[in-house]
Amino acid sequence: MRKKIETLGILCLLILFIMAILYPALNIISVSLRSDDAFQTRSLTLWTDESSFKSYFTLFLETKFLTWMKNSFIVSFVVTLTGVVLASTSGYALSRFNFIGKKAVLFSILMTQMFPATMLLLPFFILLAKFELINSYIGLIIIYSSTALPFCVWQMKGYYDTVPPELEESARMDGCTRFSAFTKIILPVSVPALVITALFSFMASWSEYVVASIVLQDPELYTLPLGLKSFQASLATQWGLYAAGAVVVSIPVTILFIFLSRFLVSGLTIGSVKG
Amino acid sequence: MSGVTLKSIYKSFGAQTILKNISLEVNSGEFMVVVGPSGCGKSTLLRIIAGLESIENGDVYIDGHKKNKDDPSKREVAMVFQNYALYPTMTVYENLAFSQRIRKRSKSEIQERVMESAKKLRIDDLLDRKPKELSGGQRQRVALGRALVRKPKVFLFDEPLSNLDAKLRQEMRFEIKKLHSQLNTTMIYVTHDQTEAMTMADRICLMNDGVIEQVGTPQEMYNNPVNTYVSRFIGMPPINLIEGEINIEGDQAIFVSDELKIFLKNERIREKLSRNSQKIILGVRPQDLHDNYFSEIKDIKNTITATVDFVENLGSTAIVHTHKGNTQISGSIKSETSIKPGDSIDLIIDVNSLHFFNQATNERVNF
Repeated sequence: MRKKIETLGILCLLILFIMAILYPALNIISVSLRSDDAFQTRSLTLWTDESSFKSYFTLFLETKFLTWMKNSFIVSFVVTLTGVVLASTSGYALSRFNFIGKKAVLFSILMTQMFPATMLLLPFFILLAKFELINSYIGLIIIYSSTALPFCVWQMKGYYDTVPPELEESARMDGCTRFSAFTKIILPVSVPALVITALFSFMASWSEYVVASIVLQDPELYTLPLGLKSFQASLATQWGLYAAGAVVVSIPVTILFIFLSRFLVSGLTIGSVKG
Repeated sequence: MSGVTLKSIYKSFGAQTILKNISLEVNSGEFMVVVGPSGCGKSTLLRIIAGLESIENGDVYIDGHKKNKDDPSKREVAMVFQNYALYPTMTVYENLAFSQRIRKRSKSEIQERVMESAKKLRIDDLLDRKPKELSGGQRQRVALGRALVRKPKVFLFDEPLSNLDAKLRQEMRFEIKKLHSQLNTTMIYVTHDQTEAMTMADRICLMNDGVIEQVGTPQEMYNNPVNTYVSRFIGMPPINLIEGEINIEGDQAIFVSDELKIFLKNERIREKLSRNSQKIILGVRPQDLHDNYFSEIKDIKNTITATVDFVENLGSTAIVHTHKGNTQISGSIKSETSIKPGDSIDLIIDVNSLHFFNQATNERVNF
């Protein structure tokens, strides 16, 4: 009996948590389907008699949403690619090679994570301004990459530390160079870590607002968060459009996560060495 | 077929020197076992031959060619690792074929080589499986097969059987020896297990603390150990080493320690002894001690009465661990014995098979 009450209690708690997570998402979907003047309604009904996809049509046909989406894709894709390539190679070097200053490098990478991003805005802005990279994709990509990389490098290094070095030694004996042993043997077993790196880099750039608002000033170059914010005017906000945009923005991340999650499996190295 | 020659190899990790002036000649087609305790540098030596470790000094020759700076891929040696090191994302077939694909051999040639090796090791029914679906013994066979496919000039084995259970280890020992006799390729095998060394080796290289103590056939190592270290390492159970001195009384050479008095047979001792007395370490293998109760040959003068501490029954023989005063003595005797701890046992020493070592240098003294 006591066990049943315990289970029931846990279930209730979990349902509460799920509701807390789902409510904002459902609410935003609900708002995206209503007209702007129905924003304040307290009803949680998703589809009412007045509901329509008008906001979505307006979003795609009458705003620059597609341009912002393209911009976001370009920036996020390059940041993800940069993150995966640089973190996978530098993490490997930090895991496998001993060199003078290795500890200092690792520590300084960790140190960069201790400063809040907003604190770095001014130095970043000055740097980009000097290189004339304000109002450009490259400027944004450099900042996103440099803020996402430290975490990615550390977590790739941590993963490589768990991969037995005998694997690449064996590959080298089999005829691989150090680099081909890395690409042919180590990278395939490091897929879960690479997926985390890719997801982290993508998410860090896809939904980022503060840095983008400093670097990008031309609406043609806006990324999605900046574009969405532009629906918010000082006197009136187009909540329907805003919500519809938010829903669409979340779709690529969701798809990416569902697609990549099947690679997030543990124990890829099982069987390679004596367990 | 090709041999391996190491000349004055030095290797350090930081301030610690791991290998000190190692020179070794492994003949073409020979099965050389490098044996020694953990941390003696034997695996490092193997990795140096493989090209996985650099050297500070010295030369490595494989098939007569200097290979000091060559990449592992260019040395034409194959290595079987202690922990298998199979590629986990590949099937057994892909594991075996990997080295051949890197060398861009034709599909048919790869298939032929893989099947030939797989059949030899009886893993041809496992080719579609991933390493995680294999047992320890099967994984070890795949690791062997991967080396075999390459048809290398030299095989290197880094304690390949240490992760297997005793029965499987014995089976694999036989497999590897059989493989060697079939291929007749040079094999260098590293182990810490003296039984493996004794049963598999054409020659043994015994290492200790970064130096080679002795190189020789198993029989040479067992019968003529060059020092107390070798005598202790080779032979199971370990040799009894007893400190004492040899005195000449009339025509008789006698070994005397605190508790023992052994009448030596060797007439040359008297001729060789510079003084009438010499401090010595006497080595008696447990196999050269016989239970007086069962022994057909009796030697009253050289029979020790000792107290049994405990008995290890191994089936065909039993090892009795005894003491006489402060001297510990182990004997390998017939297992029919009903002797128990606390009992007295009369052990006859076979004076024809004694070993003598200098007390100051621990080096062998040949009388």
